[in-house]
Amino acid sequence: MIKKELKIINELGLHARASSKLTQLACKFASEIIIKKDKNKVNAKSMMEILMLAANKNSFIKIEIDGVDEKKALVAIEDLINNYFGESK
Amino acid sequence: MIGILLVTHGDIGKSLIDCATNILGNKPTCLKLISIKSTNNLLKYQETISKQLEELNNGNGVLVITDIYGATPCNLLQNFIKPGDIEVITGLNLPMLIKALSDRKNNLNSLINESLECAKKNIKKIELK
Repeated sequence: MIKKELKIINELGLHARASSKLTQLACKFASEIIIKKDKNKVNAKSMMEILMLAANKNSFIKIEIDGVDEKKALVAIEDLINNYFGESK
Repeated sequence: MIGILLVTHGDIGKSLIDCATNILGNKPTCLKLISIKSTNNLLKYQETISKQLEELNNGNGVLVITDIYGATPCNLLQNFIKPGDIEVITGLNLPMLIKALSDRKNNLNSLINESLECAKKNIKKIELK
């Protein structure tokens, strides 16, 4: 299992469309992908669960990935978050 | 895939489908909408509902979602319920629709439970951070 703390840097935070993109990406991997924030722990493959984190800009989320493609999954998720979910800011 | 039929007052359903499509990033398939307008002949809707259900049901069942429990769209749907095959839930909101559209690999009963749970979970008071 690999773990990493990531900062949400896009202006709108982990909002609906961003969560949808994250879920679609997570679903491409076989690994189990968990996201934690504060006391909440959710499945990254469920968009509506991700939204329950209410992760705004500058908040930190912890990603835990467990499975055969965990390293690739982490790189891809990190890229998505650090590229502002494809948004301009 | 489980079919989804929205039966709503006026254009609520259309707006929710537009929002869900925008959020999910693609146009959902096996999804139909009936907008009920009180000025129209209600008998006409019975035929439309029947036709849409037939088109949507590919053997995996249909989840029908309406907005207000006990209102006309809800009452119209009573006659179409076939337990385990055509089921109706009420309280349509955007989280419910998104959940229902995204988890259709499940069987009809678990899709119902998850959609209802998601809709309720999203009705909450926001606390000051």
